[in-house]
Formats: sequence, structure tokens, C-alpha cells
Amino acid sequence: MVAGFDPMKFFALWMFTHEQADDLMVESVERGQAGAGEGMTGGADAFTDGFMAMVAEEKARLKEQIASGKVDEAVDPQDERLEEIRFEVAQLRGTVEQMQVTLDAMAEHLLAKGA
Amino acid sequence: MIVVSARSARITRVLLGAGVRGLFRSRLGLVSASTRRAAFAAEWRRAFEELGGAFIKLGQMISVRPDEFGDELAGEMARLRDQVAPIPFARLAPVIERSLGAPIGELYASIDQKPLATASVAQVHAAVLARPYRPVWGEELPAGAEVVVKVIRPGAADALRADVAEARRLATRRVVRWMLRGVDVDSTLKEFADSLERELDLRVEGRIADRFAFDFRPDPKITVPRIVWTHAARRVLTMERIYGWRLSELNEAELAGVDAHGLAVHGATAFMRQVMLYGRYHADLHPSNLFVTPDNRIAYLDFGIVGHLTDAERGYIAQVLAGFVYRDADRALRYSEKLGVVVPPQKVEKVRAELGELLDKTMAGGSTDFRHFGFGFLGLLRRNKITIPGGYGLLVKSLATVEGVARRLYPDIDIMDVAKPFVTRMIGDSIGSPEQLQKRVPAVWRAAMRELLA
Repeated sequence: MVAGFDPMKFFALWMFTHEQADDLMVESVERGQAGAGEGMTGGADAFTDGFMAMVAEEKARLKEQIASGKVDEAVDPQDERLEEIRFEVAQLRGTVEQMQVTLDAMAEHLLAKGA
Repeated sequence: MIVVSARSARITRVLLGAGVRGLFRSRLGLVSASTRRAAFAAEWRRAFEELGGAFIKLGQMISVRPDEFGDELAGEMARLRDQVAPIPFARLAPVIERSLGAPIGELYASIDQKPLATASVAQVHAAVLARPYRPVWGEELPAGAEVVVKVIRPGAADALRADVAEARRLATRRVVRWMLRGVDVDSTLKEFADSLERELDLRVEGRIADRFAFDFRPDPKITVPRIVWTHAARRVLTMERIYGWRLSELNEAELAGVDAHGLAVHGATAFMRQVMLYGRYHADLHPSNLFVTPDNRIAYLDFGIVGHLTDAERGYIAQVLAGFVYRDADRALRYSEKLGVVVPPQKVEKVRAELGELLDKTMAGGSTDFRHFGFGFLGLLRRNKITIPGGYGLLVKSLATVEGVARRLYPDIDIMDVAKPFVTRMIGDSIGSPEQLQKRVPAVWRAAMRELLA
């Protein structure tokens, strides 16, 4: 087995595969970028090209960030959840306030009727 | 009883008159089908305006359902004007005081007796808050803050319910059934009665406004009026007053330095976010429900019709939109099916070909026209006798309306250009979810192996 293994050929194949994939990826990005300006030719591949163009944009942004040393601050999902809870509690407060108004109005009405 | 009978006779007379005039204008139906439909639609709209009350509301509902009632009638009903004479404030004051349990003088520092707006269901008055209020979301409204008070007109609820009962009675007539063939009259009337009941309870609108304010909290360019819950009841709603220009007053807004193009793009993006991120969207976005504010923001008003979507539906809608945006008819049809648009196998090829043609005609790069595409697509489904779920029709109509609103702000805007990055990213994001990976990776592997071994 080991005797038949040719590392040069293996790496050459590996390099070739990557080169092919890279070329295809670059072509897809170019098609996607062209589509953004002039409209897609349509069909299932158009979406893939459009997607790849956006991935390339994201890559450029990432490169820029790494070069500048500034990284996006991700939103903490716990903060999001806390905000949701705050909103739900505030909504409950609003409902209770409104119910209080209705109760007061009913009491007022009954008092007026009694008088 | 006598009042209801008189109303009943009037409704019959006005609707019959509209039918006769429609026949006359369409030369007894001898013109083309679309001319005939347009002639009748214009007559129905006039009749609904004349009848007022529930018919205005019914017309507004028809206007957002081109899937059920056809483009001509829906388009005509969108022009419906809710014109009623204002009622004196002296008649509204007891409603406010009875609902809120306190004299008006205690509730508000002042209230303008001249209405700001009048419609068949409610009347709106400007007022000033007497005490500060901490709203559900957003900054506190201080004492002296300007607010508006929306009040259901006395007797409106009973009159509307009586009209609905009359419409139900009319709907049992054979001639009406024949005229409305193809429309699910009973479920439409039920849906209408339910939505009317929701509209008659102003607290529902207040809760939706709060939710929208929360959803758009990270967006400084969107504003929603804050609700004063201590001054709210079923028949009364007090909310922050927002100043701005209606879309019909855009020249004035632009002169004041408002960035119309920026707001058009932002408004369209905001709608995409409502649909695809929050699963709640303003489904009645006609120009009077939208303000452009002097500080360059979009203000949403009046949350009468709101569409709701589940998480799964949001994903499918993104895929359908991607199909439209990238002119991929197969993708659009495959995911439309998951939203309830089921194309029978024997019609798939025909529908696919027609959809492809429509996409090429209306969505070609650089000159997309979603309104014509959307309504054309619904028409295509109707012609092929494919049932269109209510939510699907509402969404297509809402998107077409958003395009119309955005174009009033900036005529050259291409709503599909706005949608393109949005749906692409959304679908891209979904690729990374563990469920999606688990579901799709084996298929990807099999496809790759098939290709390699072919």
C-alpha cells in the first residue's frame, strides 16, 4: 500500500481540485455581481450566483475588519431575551393599567346609578 | 326594527341600482371580460361609498383580497373613500368619560373639539396629556405631551353589526350567490365580521402598535405612536401625536429636506423585516396610514389589518420571493405549495410555463414591476382554478402595496433590488441551522457522489 502511494501525485491532485473549485467559485461570484446590476438570467443557478456574490462581499468586509483590528460586537442573545422579558412585563403593566381604568369606570357608573 | 328595515330597503335599492348601471355600462355584458369587470367594480365601489358603515369596511377588506375578488374589484375598492360627516364633540365626550371613568378635564389638560379625522367607525381629536405617562415601550410621555384620542362613534357598533346581519341575509339570495360565484361568501363574511369586532375594540390596535414599536426598537428611522394605557378602553384609545406629511404631500416634505429615496428603500426593507424576521406585518399600508416625519423617519399608523406568519411560513416566503427575484419558477412553485398553493400534478407544467413567462415579462432586470407580477400570478392561479390561501393573497397584495408606496416616495425604486439581498441572506442564514444541516447534508453527499460516479 505504502509503496504505491505517490505523495507528489496526491498533492498535485489536491492542488488541482482546489484550483478547479476556486475558479468555479470566482466565476459564480462574477456572475452574481453582474446579476445584481443587470438582472439575472433566471433559474436555480441564479440564486446560487447571487448568494456567492453576497458571500464575497462578506469576505471583503471580514478582510477589512481583520486588517483594521476592529471586530463587530455580536449581540448577546441573553440581552435579547432580557429585552423580550422587559417588553412582556411592560405589556402586562399596560394591560393592568387599562383594566384598572375599566374597573374604575364601572365603579363610577354603579355609584352614579345608586345615587 | 323599523330603522333596520329602512336600512335594509336602502341597501337592496343601492346594490340593485349599481348592478343595473354595471350592466348598462358594460353594454349588457357584450364588452370584453376585463372591461365588464372594471365597469361593475366601479359601480360597486360607488354603491359601497353611498351605503357607508360596514360597506366601507367590507370594501376595505375586499381591497386587500385580490386573490378572492379579482384585481379589478380589489383595485377599485382601494380607492374607496370613507367620507362621513363629523359628529359634535358633545356626543363623544360622554363615551370618553364613561369609558375612562373620569371627567375629561381630569384626563386631559385640553382637548380640541374639532376633529382631526373622521371615519365611519371612529373619530379622532387632538388633546394634551394632563399627567406624565410611562408607555409600554419608549421614552416617557411628559405632562403636556400632545396626543390624539380615537373614539368609536356612538351607535357605530350596532349599525355595523346590523349591516353585517343584512349582508348575511342578502348573501342567502340566489342571485347574489350567482354574482359572487367563485367566492367563499360564508367564510368571507365570517372573516369580515370577526375583523370588524377586532376593529371595534381599540385595545387590539393599541397592543399591535406596542408590539411594532418593540419590533422596530433598533431602527431609528421607524416610529410608532406610543399608547397611553391609562387613557384606553374598548371604545377609546389615546396615543402619541405624530406630526408629518402624508405621501400626497411629499413635495412639501422634500422641500423641508426629507430624503425620499433613502426613506423609500428603508420603508421597503422595513416591510421585508416585518414579514421575514418578525412574522407580523402591516397589511393595510395605504398612503394615509403612513407619515414621513420632519426628522426623516417613517411613522406607521393605524394597525387595523395585520398579517401573522409562523416561523416555517417565513422561511417558505423567503424561498418564494427568492424564486420571484431570481426568476426561478420551480423554486417559487415548490415553496408556494408549502404555503398552501397546491397545483394538481396535471397542471404543474402549464402553470410553471405561464409563471416563467410572467416572470420574464414583469421581473426582467432593471424594470421589475411587482404589482403587475403579483396580481398576474394570482390571476394565473385563479384561471387554473387553484385555491389561493387568504394569507398568501394578502401577502402578495401587501408587497404590491409596499412597492406602490415606495414608488410614491421615489418613483425609480426597484423593490426586487431591495428584496434580493434580504431573501438571499435569509436563506443563506438558514443553511447553517443544525436541523437544516441534518436534513440536507446526506442529500448533498449523495448528489456529489452521483455526479462523481456518473
